[in-house]
Amino acid sequence: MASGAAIFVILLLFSWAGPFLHTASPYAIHPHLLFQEPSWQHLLGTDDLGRGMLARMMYGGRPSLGVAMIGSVIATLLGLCYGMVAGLSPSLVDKSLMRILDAILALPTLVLMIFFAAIIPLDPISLILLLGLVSWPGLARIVRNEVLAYKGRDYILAAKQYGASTWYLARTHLLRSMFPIVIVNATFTVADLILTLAGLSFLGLGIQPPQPSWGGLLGNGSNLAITGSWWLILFPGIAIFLAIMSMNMIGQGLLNRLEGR
Amino acid sequence: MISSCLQIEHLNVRFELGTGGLLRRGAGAFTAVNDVTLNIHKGECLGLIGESGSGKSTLGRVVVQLITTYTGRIFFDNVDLSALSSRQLQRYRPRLQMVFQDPAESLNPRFTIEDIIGEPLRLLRIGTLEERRVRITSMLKQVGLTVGMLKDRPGQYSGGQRQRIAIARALVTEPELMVLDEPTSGLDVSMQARILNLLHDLQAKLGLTYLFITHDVGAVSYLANRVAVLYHGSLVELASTQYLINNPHHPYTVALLDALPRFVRGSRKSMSGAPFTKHSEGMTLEGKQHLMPQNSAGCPYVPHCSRCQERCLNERPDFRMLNEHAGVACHYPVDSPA
Repeated sequence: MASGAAIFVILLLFSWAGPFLHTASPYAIHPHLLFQEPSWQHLLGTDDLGRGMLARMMYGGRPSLGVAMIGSVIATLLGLCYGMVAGLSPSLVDKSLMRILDAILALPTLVLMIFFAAIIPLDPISLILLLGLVSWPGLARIVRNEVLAYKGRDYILAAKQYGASTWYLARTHLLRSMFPIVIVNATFTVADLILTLAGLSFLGLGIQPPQPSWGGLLGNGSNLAITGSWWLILFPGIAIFLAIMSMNMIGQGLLNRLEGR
Repeated sequence: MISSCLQIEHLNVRFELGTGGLLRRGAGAFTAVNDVTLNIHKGECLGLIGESGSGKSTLGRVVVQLITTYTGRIFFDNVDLSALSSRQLQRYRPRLQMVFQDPAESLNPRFTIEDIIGEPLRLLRIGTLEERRVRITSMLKQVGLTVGMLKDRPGQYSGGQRQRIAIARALVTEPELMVLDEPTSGLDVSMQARILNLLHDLQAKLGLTYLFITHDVGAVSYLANRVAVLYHGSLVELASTQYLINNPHHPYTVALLDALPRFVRGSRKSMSGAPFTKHSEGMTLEGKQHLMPQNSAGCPYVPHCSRCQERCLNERPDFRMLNEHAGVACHYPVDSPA
């Protein structure tokens, strides 16, 4: 878990603090410096428009990581609320809510994203909302099942015996009991969203050029693979890989630590 | 005249089976408690015994108003609890408390011990923060724990200590009646004795009334003044403890006591005369008891009763007093051999 956190912090620093050390603009076009291989002048090479890959990688990390993290927070809050409401509602309401959830889960995320990409402008804010809105049903189901499992516990009964309201039970007992599973799910969702966003950007449905993103850089690089510019593919690929791996390591570590007690 | 703490009159609790699902609707209802009338005297410990599924715990939960879907009346301090709204009930909740069977289940593992014992005070809005802290620490001492534990979590302690925490939580609102729902059955034997001692001392010191639910006849004979025997939700026998152990009158009570290992029974002679048989009078308590139709007109114990006669099949026996010690719901009670 510590190494996962370390890798993720390095990626965050690279994206947000990096540009203060390496001040080159990610948008400045240099017609005389197209397809430069990595060298001491251009540490990660340059792309088809002569833009420095290092600067583009740094600025590209911001939407990739930021959108995924905030999207995960939104998805977690939505899933938590929906699952709690379903689990604490009377059986019939619970069942209706779960069938609605099934319907939402049946929609393929990618198709949904393509649909939305067609009708709304794709900027980081709308992407955060979109990704947040499509990734909560899994957690909602987990939370609802946890609520059902905890609802009959004697400590819930004991609290009811002192006249505890449903809101009190949800806020204290259930939330505290579910904290590990929710936090672990949130970390895995971040990893998931990094990959989803990279995939969307790769397809041109995510962060729109010229704004860089890791997925977009990877897509651009793969289009230019015929020129033999391996650095345009390798570095964004490594960044995406490290981000997802570190998040999964954090999630797994949290799981072991929190559930192991 | 002994004043009563709690009076239960014609209590019935039914659980609907197979709720939800179009195909399973109408699967019927299970009667957990069947027309029980019972009186708990002030300051006594009333034992409530019976096998698993006999409705003991349900009865206890009705008494503390955890289950409110019952018919019948429950008088506490001359007030009919069944007629109160949940808001009005709130006033009586501090005075009725419950200790659950398994402290691992009844204490939230993510709460500190201070939060656990303080929870009833917070929820029932008793006292200021400072007063609550004083009460919590004094409770902790009363049940034999130390103040240093306040910030710990229950997982760090043994079953016996956790049950002490649960007892402290129940006592913190200064209740008059405590329902003890098998408080010792999750503990090992040496712990059981200590917890029983603690409960005994607390009762004497604080003038508590107990409803002690258990299937441990040894524990009942130690703590209870009177014992009520429940069979399939019906009260079959009620007697003072020593009298019941020596002179069980209902065939079910006889079977229940005879099913005990011999060393617990002390000097009691087996009804069948054979020293080590597990069941007397051809009793078998195995089988599909819970599938037995419950609404038939006869005595609920008919399928297992060796003394069953024509009358038992058609007429449900009413509960009646046999003498000043014991009452029984049986047409042909067993006469004590003693």
